Amino acid sequence: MREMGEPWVETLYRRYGPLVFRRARMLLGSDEAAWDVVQEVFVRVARARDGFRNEASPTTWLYRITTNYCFNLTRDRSRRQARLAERPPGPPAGPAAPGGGQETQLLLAEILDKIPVELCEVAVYYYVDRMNQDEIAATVGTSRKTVGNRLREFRARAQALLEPESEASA
Amino acid sequence: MIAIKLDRSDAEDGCLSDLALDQLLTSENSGSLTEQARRTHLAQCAACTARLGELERDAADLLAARPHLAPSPGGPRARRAPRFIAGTLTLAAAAAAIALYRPATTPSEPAASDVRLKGSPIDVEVFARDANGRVTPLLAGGVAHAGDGLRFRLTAHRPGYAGLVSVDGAGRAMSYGPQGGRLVPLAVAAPALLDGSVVLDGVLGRERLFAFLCRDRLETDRLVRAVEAAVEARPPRSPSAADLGLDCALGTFWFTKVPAP
Repeated sequence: MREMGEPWVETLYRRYGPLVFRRARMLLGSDEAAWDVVQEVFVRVARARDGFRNEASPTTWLYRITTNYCFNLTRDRSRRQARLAERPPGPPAGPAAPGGGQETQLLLAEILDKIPVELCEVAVYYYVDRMNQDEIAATVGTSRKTVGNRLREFRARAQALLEPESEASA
Repeated sequence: MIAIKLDRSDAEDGCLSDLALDQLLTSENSGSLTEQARRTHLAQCAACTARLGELERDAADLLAARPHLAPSPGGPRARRAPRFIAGTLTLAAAAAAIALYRPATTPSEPAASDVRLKGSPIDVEVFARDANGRVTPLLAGGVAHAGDGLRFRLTAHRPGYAGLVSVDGAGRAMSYGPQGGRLVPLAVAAPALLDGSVVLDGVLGRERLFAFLCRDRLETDRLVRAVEAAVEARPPRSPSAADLGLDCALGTFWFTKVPAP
C-alpha cells in the first residue's frame, strides 16, 4: 500500500501510533491484535488525509475510530465463535497482554452482544477511560446531554445484566 | 461475569483522563481543558504526573520496537497491564514529563506542515548521520545510536532568538547549539540549521531536546542552568516554559538513544 509508506503517515504514526496501540491492546487484550489495529487505523488515516487534517483534535478522532474498529473485531470474533458453538472463544492471536487477554475479550464481547454499540462506546469512555462527559461529547461528536442519556441507559441495561449474577451468587 | 462499577461521577476523581494526557503528549491544545489547565493540574497531582510518565515511556518503548508502520515479526513486549481489566475498570489516571513530542518535518516531506499543530512557537528537525555516513531525518520518538552525528534545523513561528538544550538519559543538561555562547536570531518561517553538529555519547535512554525561542539574546549557559534546575526540581517531569522562569517559548523533541549497531 503505497500511501502507508509516505513520510507524512509515518510522522503521524510517531505522534499518534502509541495511543492507538495502547487503546487497541486495552480493548483486545493482545499485542499482536493491537498491532494489526494500528496498521488498519493508519491505512484509514492515509485514505482520509484531508479529513484528518481538518480534525480539530486528531487524538479524539483516533480514539473513536480505534474504539469502533476494536468493537467490530470483537463482535465479529464473538459471532464466529457462536457459529462454531465454542464458548469461551479461543485465545487471541499472539501473546495476551498481561492482566487482560481472553478475560477482557469475553467481557467486552458479552457487553457488545447485549447492549447497543453507541451505549457501549460512551460507557467505555466514561468508565474505562475516565473521561468526563464534556470530553466524551467532543470525542463522539454529540451533546453532553446525549452523553448523559446514553450513560443512564447503559447503566440501566448493565444493571439488568448484573442482577441475575447477583441473585445466583447470593 | 460482568462486574462493572457503575457509580462513577465526573467529580469523583478529578484527575486528567488519558485523553487529556494524550493531548498533552501530542501537543494538541483542544478538548474541554486548555493546555494551561492541564499543566496546572499536573503540577499539583502526583498521580497524573506518574500516569503521564507511564504513557510517555510506553510510547518510547513502542516506537523503539516498532519505529515504522511496516509490519515486523514479533510485537513489542507488553510491560504493563491494560486498564480495561475484566470487571474492576479502575482508574489508573495520570502522569509525568511534559515532553510534548512533536513530529519533525523532513526535507522530503512537502506536506509536513499539514501536521504541525497550532500554537507551537518553534519546531525542531533532527538529522542523523550514521557510521556509514548516511544522513536520515530522525523523527520525534525515533531511535538514534551512540556515535551518530546529529544536526538540527529550527523553524520559528514568531520572531526571536533560538537555542537548543538536551537532557540525556542520565538527566544531564547540555547545550546543543548555537556555538558561540549566545542564542541566534531566527526569522519567522525561515528554517535555519544550527551551526556545528553533535556526536551522541554513550549515555543511553530517552533524550529530550528543548528548543528555545526567546525575546532576548540570552547566553546558552543560562538556558542550560534553567533546564538543569527544573529537571532537578521535578525529576520525572519535563520542564515546561513556565518552570524555567525565562521569557522564552519552548518546542520539544525526544528520541531514544541505543547502543551503536
